[in-house]
Amino acid sequence: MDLIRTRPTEAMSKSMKKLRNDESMMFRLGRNLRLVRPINSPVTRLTGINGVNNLNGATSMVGFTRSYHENVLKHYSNPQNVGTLNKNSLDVGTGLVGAPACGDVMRLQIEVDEETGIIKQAKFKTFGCGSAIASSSYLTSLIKGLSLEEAGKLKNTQIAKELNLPPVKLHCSMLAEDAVKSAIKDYKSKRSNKTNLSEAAVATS
Amino acid sequence: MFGTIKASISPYKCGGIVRTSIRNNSVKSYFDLFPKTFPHGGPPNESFEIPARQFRKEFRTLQSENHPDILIGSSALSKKQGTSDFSSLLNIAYSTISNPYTRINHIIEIYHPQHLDISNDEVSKKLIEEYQSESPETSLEYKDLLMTVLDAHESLEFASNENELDSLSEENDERIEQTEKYIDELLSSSELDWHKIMLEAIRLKYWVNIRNAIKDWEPGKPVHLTH
Repeated sequence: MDLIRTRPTEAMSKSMKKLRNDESMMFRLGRNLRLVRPINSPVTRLTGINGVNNLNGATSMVGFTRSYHENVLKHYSNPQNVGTLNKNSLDVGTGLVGAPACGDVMRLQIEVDEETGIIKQAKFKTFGCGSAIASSSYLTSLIKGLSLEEAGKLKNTQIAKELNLPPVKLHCSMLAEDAVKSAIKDYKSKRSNKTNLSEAAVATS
Repeated sequence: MFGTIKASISPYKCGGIVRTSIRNNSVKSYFDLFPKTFPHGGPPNESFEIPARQFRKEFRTLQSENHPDILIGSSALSKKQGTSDFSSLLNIAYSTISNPYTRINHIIEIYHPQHLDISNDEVSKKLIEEYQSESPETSLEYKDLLMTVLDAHESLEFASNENELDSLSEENDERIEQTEKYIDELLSSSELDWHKIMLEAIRLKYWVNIRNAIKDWEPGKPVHLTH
Protein backbone atom coordinates (compact mmCIF):
# COMPACT_ATOMS: atom_id res chain seq x y z
CA MET A 1 0.00 0.00 0.00
CA ASP A 2 1.47 3.26 -1.17
CA LEU A 3 -0.10 5.23 1.63
CA ILE A 4 2.32 3.73 4.07
CA ARG A 5 5.31 5.25 2.37
CA THR A 6 3.87 8.74 2.24
CA ARG A 7 4.25 11.16 5.08
CA PRO A 8 1.95 10.44 7.96
CA THR A 9 -1.19 12.53 7.94
CA GLU A 10 -1.79 15.04 10.66
CA ALA A 11 -4.21 12.75 12.39
CA MET A 12 -1.68 9.95 12.26
CA SER A 13 1.09 12.09 13.71
CA LYS A 14 -1.23 13.06 16.49
CA SER A 15 -2.04 9.52 17.37
CA MET A 16 1.64 8.63 17.19
CA LYS A 17 2.45 11.46 19.52
CA LYS A 18 -0.29 10.43 21.87
CA LEU A 19 1.00 6.90 21.99
CA ARG A 20 4.60 7.90 22.44
CA ASN A 21 3.58 10.13 25.30
CA ASP A 22 1.56 7.39 26.83
CA GLU A 23 4.58 5.65 28.20
CA SER A 24 2.69 5.13 31.40
CA MET A 25 0.75 2.52 29.50
CA MET A 26 3.88 0.56 28.75
CA PHE A 27 4.97 1.04 32.30
CA ARG A 28 1.76 -0.28 33.74
CA LEU A 29 1.86 -3.31 31.55
CA GLY A 30 5.23 -4.34 32.88
CA ARG A 31 8.56 -5.05 31.36
CA ASN A 32 7.44 -7.88 29.17
CA LEU A 33 5.43 -5.57 27.03
CA ARG A 34 6.74 -3.00 24.71
CA LEU A 35 5.48 -0.74 22.05
CA VAL A 36 6.41 -1.98 18.64
CA ARG A 37 6.39 0.28 15.63
CA PRO A 38 6.47 -1.77 12.47
CA ILE A 39 9.09 -0.34 10.14
CA ASN A 40 6.75 0.22 7.26
CA SER A 41 3.89 1.60 9.26
CA PRO A 42 3.53 5.17 10.40
CA VAL A 43 1.22 4.19 13.19
CA THR A 44 2.67 3.12 16.49
CA ARG A 45 1.04 0.02 17.76
CA LEU A 46 1.59 -2.93 19.95
CA THR A 47 1.75 -6.23 18.21
CA GLY A 48 1.59 -9.66 19.65
CA ILE A 49 -0.17 -12.87 20.31
CA ASN A 50 -3.26 -12.24 22.32
CA GLY A 51 -4.10 -8.71 21.29
CA VAL A 52 -6.25 -6.76 23.67
CA ASN A 53 -7.83 -3.65 22.26
CA ASN A 54 -8.46 -0.30 23.84
CA LEU A 55 -6.15 -0.55 26.79
CA ASN A 56 -6.38 2.63 28.82
CA GLY A 57 -8.51 4.14 26.13
CA ALA A 58 -5.81 4.09 23.46
CA THR A 59 -7.62 4.04 20.19
CA SER A 60 -5.18 2.18 18.00
CA MET A 61 -4.73 -1.51 17.85
CA VAL A 62 -2.82 -2.80 20.80
CA GLY A 63 -1.52 -6.19 21.72
CA PHE A 64 1.84 -7.45 22.90
CA THR A 65 4.77 -9.64 22.26
CA ARG A 66 5.01 -11.56 25.51
CA SER A 67 2.13 -10.78 27.69
CA TYR A 68 0.14 -11.23 30.80
CA HIS A 69 -2.95 -13.36 30.51
CA GLU A 70 -6.16 -11.40 30.10
CA ASN A 71 -7.32 -12.48 33.56
CA VAL A 72 -4.23 -10.83 35.01
CA LEU A 73 -4.93 -7.68 33.02
CA LYS A 74 -8.53 -7.67 34.16
CA HIS A 75 -7.49 -7.56 37.81
CA TYR A 76 -4.48 -5.41 37.09
CA SER A 77 -6.16 -2.61 35.19
CA ASN A 78 -9.15 -2.69 37.49
CA PRO A 79 -8.02 -4.14 40.80
CA GLN A 80 -10.74 -5.08 43.26
CA ASN A 81 -10.70 -4.29 46.96
CA VAL A 82 -7.74 -1.94 47.07
CA GLY A 83 -7.63 -0.09 50.33
CA THR A 84 -7.20 -0.20 54.06
CA LEU A 85 -9.21 -1.37 57.03
CA ASN A 86 -8.75 -0.10 60.54
CA LYS A 87 -5.83 -2.18 61.72
CA ASN A 88 -6.58 -1.37 65.35
CA SER A 89 -10.06 -2.86 65.21
CA LEU A 90 -10.36 -6.20 66.96
CA ASP A 91 -12.34 -7.55 64.00
CA VAL A 92 -9.53 -6.84 61.57
CA GLY A 93 -6.54 -9.05 60.88
CA THR A 94 -3.60 -7.62 58.97
CA GLY A 95 -1.07 -9.63 57.00
CA LEU A 96 2.10 -7.94 55.80
CA VAL A 97 4.42 -9.95 53.60
CA GLY A 98 7.33 -9.28 51.29
CA ALA A 99 9.10 -11.06 48.46
CA PRO A 100 12.78 -10.79 49.31
CA ALA A 101 13.99 -11.65 45.82
CA CYS A 102 12.04 -9.01 43.95
CA GLY A 103 11.30 -6.47 46.68
CA ASP A 104 7.51 -6.59 46.39
CA VAL A 105 5.40 -5.85 49.45
CA MET A 106 1.80 -6.84 50.07
CA ARG A 107 -0.58 -5.93 52.85
CA LEU A 108 -3.82 -7.87 53.12
CA GLN A 109 -6.51 -7.14 55.68
CA ILE A 110 -9.59 -9.12 56.57
CA GLU A 111 -12.59 -8.08 58.61
CA VAL A 112 -14.21 -11.01 60.35
CA ASP A 113 -17.70 -11.36 61.72
CA GLU A 114 -17.20 -12.16 65.38
CA GLU A 115 -20.27 -14.41 65.64
CA THR A 116 -19.98 -16.48 62.49
CA GLY A 117 -16.25 -16.34 61.83
CA ILE A 118 -16.97 -15.37 58.22
CA ILE A 119 -14.74 -12.91 56.38
CA LYS A 120 -16.97 -9.92 55.74
CA GLN A 121 -14.51 -7.65 54.03
CA ALA A 122 -11.04 -7.92 52.54
CA LYS A 123 -8.72 -5.15 51.36
CA PHE A 124 -5.22 -5.13 50.00
CA LYS A 125 -2.41 -2.84 49.06
CA THR A 126 0.34 -4.27 46.93
CA PHE A 127 3.47 -2.62 45.62
CA GLY A 128 4.82 -4.99 43.08
CA CYS A 129 4.50 -6.29 39.56
CA GLY A 130 1.29 -6.88 37.65
CA SER A 131 1.01 -10.50 38.68
CA ALA A 132 1.38 -9.64 42.35
CA ILE A 133 -1.33 -6.99 42.13
CA ALA A 134 -3.64 -9.28 40.17
CA SER A 135 -2.99 -12.14 42.61
CA SER A 136 -3.98 -10.04 45.60
CA SER A 137 -6.97 -8.57 43.83
CA TYR A 138 -8.27 -11.99 42.87
CA LEU A 139 -7.55 -13.40 46.30
CA THR A 140 -9.50 -10.69 48.13
CA SER A 141 -12.52 -11.27 45.91
CA LEU A 142 -12.18 -14.98 46.60
CA ILE A 143 -12.01 -14.91 50.40
CA LYS A 144 -14.97 -12.64 51.03
CA GLY A 145 -17.76 -14.79 52.44
CA LEU A 146 -15.45 -17.64 53.40
CA SER A 147 -14.87 -18.81 56.94
CA LEU A 148 -11.39 -18.34 58.38
CA GLU A 149 -10.81 -22.04 58.07
CA GLU A 150 -11.78 -22.15 54.42
CA ALA A 151 -9.70 -19.08 53.64
CA GLY A 152 -6.72 -20.62 55.42
CA LYS A 153 -6.89 -23.62 53.14
CA LEU A 154 -6.64 -21.63 49.93
CA LYS A 155 -3.67 -22.60 47.85
CA ASN A 156 -1.60 -20.42 45.59
CA THR A 157 -2.15 -22.89 42.76
CA GLN A 158 -5.78 -21.85 42.66
CA ILE A 159 -4.77 -18.24 42.11
CA ALA A 160 -2.10 -19.19 39.61
CA LYS A 161 -4.59 -21.27 37.67
CA GLU A 162 -7.22 -18.56 37.49
CA LEU A 163 -4.67 -15.97 36.38
CA ASN A 164 -2.71 -18.37 34.16
CA LEU A 165 0.54 -17.30 35.77
CA PRO A 166 3.72 -18.52 34.09
CA PRO A 167 6.25 -20.42 36.27
CA VAL A 168 8.43 -17.34 36.83
CA LYS A 169 5.45 -15.54 38.34
CA LEU A 170 4.23 -18.33 40.59
CA HIS A 171 5.91 -16.70 43.55
CA CYS A 172 3.46 -13.78 43.23
CA SER A 173 0.53 -16.08 43.94
CA MET A 174 2.55 -17.61 46.77
CA LEU A 175 2.96 -14.15 48.26
CA ALA A 176 -0.83 -13.73 48.22
CA GLU A 177 -1.28 -17.08 49.94
CA ASP A 178 1.27 -16.10 52.60
CA ALA A 179 -0.52 -12.77 53.05
CA VAL A 180 -3.90 -14.30 53.80
CA LYS A 181 -2.34 -16.83 56.19
CA SER A 182 -0.55 -14.06 58.00
CA ALA A 183 -3.75 -11.97 58.19
CA ILE A 184 -5.65 -14.90 59.72
CA LYS A 185 -2.84 -15.46 62.18
CA ASP A 186 -2.89 -11.81 63.18
CA TYR A 187 -6.67 -11.87 63.66
CA LYS A 188 -6.50 -14.99 65.81
CA SER A 189 -3.69 -13.69 67.98
CA LYS A 190 -5.60 -10.43 68.51
CA ARG A 191 -8.65 -12.42 69.54
CA SER A 192 -6.79 -14.69 71.93
CA ASN A 193 -5.10 -11.66 73.48
CA LYS A 194 -8.52 -10.16 74.00
CA THR A 195 -9.79 -13.33 75.68
CA ASN A 196 -6.72 -13.44 77.89
CA LEU A 197 -7.18 -9.82 78.81
CA SER A 198 -10.82 -10.22 79.72
CA GLU A 199 -10.04 -13.35 81.70
CA ALA A 200 -7.32 -11.45 83.48
CA ALA A 201 -9.79 -8.65 84.12
CA VAL A 202 -12.27 -11.11 85.58
CA ALA A 203 -9.56 -12.68 87.71
CA THR A 204 -8.38 -9.38 89.17
CA SER A 205 -11.85 -7.98 89.83
CA MET B 1 45.17 -6.24 27.75
CA PHE B 2 41.76 -7.71 27.03
CA GLY B 3 42.87 -9.82 24.12
CA THR B 4 42.16 -13.11 25.80
CA ILE B 5 38.70 -12.07 26.91
CA LYS B 6 37.75 -10.75 23.50
CA ALA B 7 38.61 -13.98 21.89
CA SER B 8 36.70 -16.25 24.18
CA ILE B 9 33.52 -14.59 25.33
CA SER B 10 31.57 -14.75 22.11
CA PRO B 11 28.71 -17.17 22.79
CA TYR B 12 26.86 -15.74 25.72
CA LYS B 13 23.23 -14.88 26.11
CA CYS B 14 22.46 -14.63 29.79
CA GLY B 15 24.23 -13.96 33.07
CA GLY B 16 24.99 -17.59 33.75
CA ILE B 17 26.96 -18.13 30.62
CA VAL B 18 28.78 -14.86 31.02
CA ARG B 19 29.89 -16.00 34.41
CA THR B 20 31.26 -19.27 33.20
CA SER B 21 33.08 -17.56 30.40
CA ILE B 22 34.51 -15.11 32.88
CA ARG B 23 35.61 -17.91 35.15
CA ASN B 24 37.41 -19.61 32.34
CA ASN B 25 39.62 -16.61 32.00
CA SER B 26 41.84 -14.67 34.28
CA VAL B 27 38.89 -12.36 34.84
CA LYS B 28 37.14 -13.47 37.99
CA SER B 29 34.41 -10.89 38.27
CA TYR B 30 32.94 -7.91 36.48
CA PHE B 31 35.18 -5.74 38.64
CA ASP B 32 38.24 -7.12 36.89
CA LEU B 33 37.09 -5.52 33.67
CA PHE B 34 37.79 -2.11 35.21
CA PRO B 35 41.34 -2.40 36.55
CA LYS B 36 41.84 1.35 36.98
CA THR B 37 38.81 1.70 39.25
CA PHE B 38 39.29 -1.64 40.96
CA PRO B 39 43.03 -2.35 40.99
CA HIS B 40 42.49 -5.11 43.56
CA GLY B 41 39.55 -6.78 41.89
CA GLY B 42 36.80 -4.86 43.67
CA PRO B 43 35.04 -5.75 46.91
CA PRO B 44 35.65 -7.51 49.26
CA ASN B 45 39.28 -6.51 48.65
CA GLU B 46 38.23 -2.91 48.19
CA SER B 47 35.48 -0.66 49.49
CA PHE B 48 31.95 -1.65 48.61
CA GLU B 49 31.17 2.00 48.01
CA ILE B 50 32.50 2.59 44.54
CA PRO B 51 34.09 5.79 43.20
CA ALA B 52 31.23 6.52 40.78
CA ARG B 53 32.94 9.25 38.78
CA GLN B 54 36.16 7.36 38.19
CA PHE B 55 34.16 4.22 37.38
CA ARG B 56 32.07 6.00 34.78
CA LYS B 57 35.16 7.55 33.24
CA GLU B 58 36.89 4.22 32.87
CA PHE B 59 33.75 2.63 31.46
CA ARG B 60 33.47 5.36 28.83
CA THR B 61 37.10 5.07 27.88
CA LEU B 62 36.81 1.32 27.48
CA GLN B 63 33.62 1.65 25.49
CA SER B 64 35.20 4.22 23.21
CA GLU B 65 37.96 1.75 22.48
CA ASN B 66 35.67 -1.20 22.05
CA HIS B 67 32.30 -0.02 20.85
CA PRO B 68 31.41 -1.72 17.56
CA ASP B 69 30.00 1.47 16.04
CA ILE B 70 33.35 3.16 16.38
CA LEU B 71 35.22 0.24 14.92
CA ILE B 72 33.00 -0.13 11.85
CA GLY B 73 34.92 0.89 8.75
CA SER B 74 38.23 0.79 10.50
CA SER B 75 40.78 -1.90 10.06
CA ALA B 76 39.32 -3.60 13.09
CA LEU B 77 36.19 -4.46 11.13
CA SER B 78 37.20 -8.05 10.83
CA LYS B 79 37.20 -8.33 14.60
CA LYS B 80 33.79 -6.71 14.85
CA GLN B 81 32.06 -9.79 16.22
CA GLY B 82 34.36 -10.04 19.17
CA THR B 83 34.31 -6.35 19.98
CA SER B 84 30.55 -6.16 19.92
CA ASP B 85 30.44 -8.98 22.45
CA PHE B 86 33.03 -7.30 24.59
CA SER B 87 31.21 -4.01 24.36
CA SER B 88 27.96 -5.53 25.56
CA LEU B 89 29.80 -7.40 28.29
CA LEU B 90 31.13 -4.03 29.45
CA ASN B 91 27.57 -2.70 29.49
CA ILE B 92 26.34 -5.60 31.59
CA ALA B 93 29.30 -5.28 33.94
CA TYR B 94 28.83 -1.53 34.27
CA SER B 95 25.13 -1.70 35.09
CA THR B 96 25.64 -4.62 37.47
CA ILE B 97 28.26 -2.76 39.45
CA SER B 98 26.46 0.60 39.37
CA ASN B 99 23.35 -0.68 41.12
CA PRO B 100 24.24 -1.46 44.75
CA TYR B 101 21.86 -4.43 44.89
CA THR B 102 23.14 -6.15 41.76
CA ARG B 103 26.66 -5.27 42.90
CA ILE B 104 26.34 -7.15 46.19
CA ASN B 105 24.47 -9.93 44.45
CA HIS B 106 27.39 -10.35 42.05
CA ILE B 107 29.85 -10.44 44.94
CA ILE B 108 27.78 -13.06 46.75
CA GLU B 109 27.51 -15.21 43.64
CA ILE B 110 31.25 -15.14 43.14
CA TYR B 111 32.63 -15.38 46.66
CA HIS B 112 29.96 -17.21 48.63
CA PRO B 113 31.12 -20.80 49.25
CA GLN B 114 27.94 -22.10 47.57
CA HIS B 115 27.74 -19.27 45.02
CA LEU B 116 24.20 -18.49 46.13
CA ASP B 117 22.01 -16.28 44.00
CA ILE B 118 19.77 -14.21 46.26
CA SER B 119 17.77 -12.87 43.33
CA ASN B 120 16.41 -16.40 43.18
CA ASP B 121 13.09 -16.45 44.99
CA GLU B 122 13.60 -19.75 46.81
CA VAL B 123 17.07 -18.88 48.02
CA SER B 124 16.07 -15.54 49.49
CA LYS B 125 12.79 -16.83 50.88
CA LYS B 126 14.58 -19.60 52.76
CA LEU B 127 17.04 -17.08 54.10
CA ILE B 128 14.29 -14.82 55.41
CA GLU B 129 12.34 -17.73 56.88
CA GLU B 130 15.41 -18.86 58.79
CA TYR B 131 16.06 -15.32 59.93
CA GLN B 132 12.49 -14.82 61.14
CA SER B 133 12.48 -18.05 63.11
CA GLU B 134 15.76 -17.19 64.86
CA SER B 135 14.06 -15.19 67.60
CA PRO B 136 11.00 -13.02 68.23
CA GLU B 137 13.28 -9.99 67.80
CA THR B 138 14.46 -10.93 64.33
CA SER B 139 10.92 -11.75 63.30
CA LEU B 140 9.81 -8.35 64.50
CA GLU B 141 12.72 -6.68 62.78
CA TYR B 142 11.76 -8.09 59.40
CA LYS B 143 8.15 -7.01 59.98
CA ASP B 144 9.45 -3.52 60.77
CA LEU B 145 11.40 -3.51 57.55
CA LEU B 146 8.31 -4.47 55.54
CA MET B 147 6.31 -1.80 57.35
CA THR B 148 8.89 0.86 56.49
CA VAL B 149 8.91 -0.28 52.87
CA LEU B 150 5.13 -0.20 52.63
CA ASP B 151 5.00 3.22 54.30
CA ALA B 152 7.55 4.60 51.87
CA HIS B 153 5.61 3.33 48.87
CA GLU B 154 2.38 4.70 50.31
CA SER B 155 3.85 8.15 50.95
CA LEU B 156 5.01 8.12 47.36
CA GLU B 157 1.55 7.15 46.23
CA PHE B 158 0.03 10.05 48.14
CA ALA B 159 2.61 12.57 46.95
CA SER B 160 0.89 15.20 44.86
CA ASN B 161 3.82 17.10 43.40
CA GLU B 162 7.51 16.79 42.63
CA ASN B 163 8.60 18.79 45.67
CA GLU B 164 7.24 16.14 47.98
CA LEU B 165 9.41 13.62 46.23
CA ASP B 166 12.60 15.36 47.30
CA SER B 167 12.21 14.53 50.96
CA LEU B 168 11.16 10.94 50.18
CA SER B 169 14.10 10.59 47.86
CA GLU B 170 16.48 12.05 50.40
CA GLU B 171 15.20 9.74 53.08
CA ASN B 172 15.56 6.71 50.85
CA ASP B 173 19.02 7.67 49.59
CA GLU B 174 20.00 7.84 53.23
CA ARG B 175 18.76 4.27 53.73
CA ILE B 176 20.68 3.05 50.72
CA GLU B 177 23.82 4.80 51.89
CA GLN B 178 23.56 3.37 55.39
CA THR B 179 23.00 -0.15 54.11
CA GLU B 180 25.92 0.24 51.70
CA LYS B 181 28.11 1.40 54.58
CA TYR B 182 27.06 -1.56 56.69
CA ILE B 183 27.71 -3.99 53.85
CA ASP B 184 31.10 -2.36 53.41
CA GLU B 185 31.83 -3.01 57.08
CA LEU B 186 30.71 -6.60 56.81
CA LEU B 187 32.83 -7.15 53.71
CA SER B 188 35.96 -5.72 55.29
CA SER B 189 35.86 -8.12 58.20
CA SER B 190 38.49 -10.85 58.04
CA GLU B 191 35.91 -13.60 58.28
CA LEU B 192 32.93 -12.90 56.08
CA ASP B 193 29.54 -13.34 57.70
CA TRP B 194 27.61 -14.32 54.58
CA HIS B 195 24.36 -14.67 56.44
CA LYS B 196 24.42 -11.05 57.54
CA ILE B 197 25.68 -9.87 54.16
CA MET B 198 22.82 -11.57 52.36
CA LEU B 199 20.23 -10.14 54.75
CA GLU B 200 21.58 -6.65 54.14
CA ALA B 201 21.50 -7.36 50.41
CA ILE B 202 17.80 -8.16 50.65
CA ARG B 203 17.24 -4.98 52.62
CA LEU B 204 19.01 -3.14 49.81
CA LYS B 205 16.66 -4.72 47.27
CA TYR B 206 13.67 -3.17 49.02
CA TRP B 207 15.37 0.24 49.13
CA VAL B 208 16.39 0.09 45.50
CA ASN B 209 12.81 -0.72 44.51
CA ILE B 210 11.65 2.37 46.36
CA ARG B 211 14.30 4.38 44.56
CA ASN B 212 13.05 3.10 41.20
CA ALA B 213 9.47 3.89 42.15
CA ILE B 214 10.50 7.44 43.04
CA LYS B 215 12.32 7.77 39.72
CA ASP B 216 9.24 6.63 37.80
CA TRP B 217 6.86 8.81 39.74
CA GLU B 218 4.47 10.93 37.73
CA PRO B 219 1.56 12.97 39.07
CA GLY B 220 -1.51 10.80 39.42
CA LYS B 221 0.16 7.70 38.12
CA PRO B 222 -0.33 4.61 40.27
CA VAL B 223 2.85 3.31 41.84
CA HIS B 224 3.73 0.02 40.27
CA LEU B 225 7.03 -1.71 40.27
CA THR B 226 8.28 -3.51 37.23
CA HIS B 227 10.83 -6.18 37.26
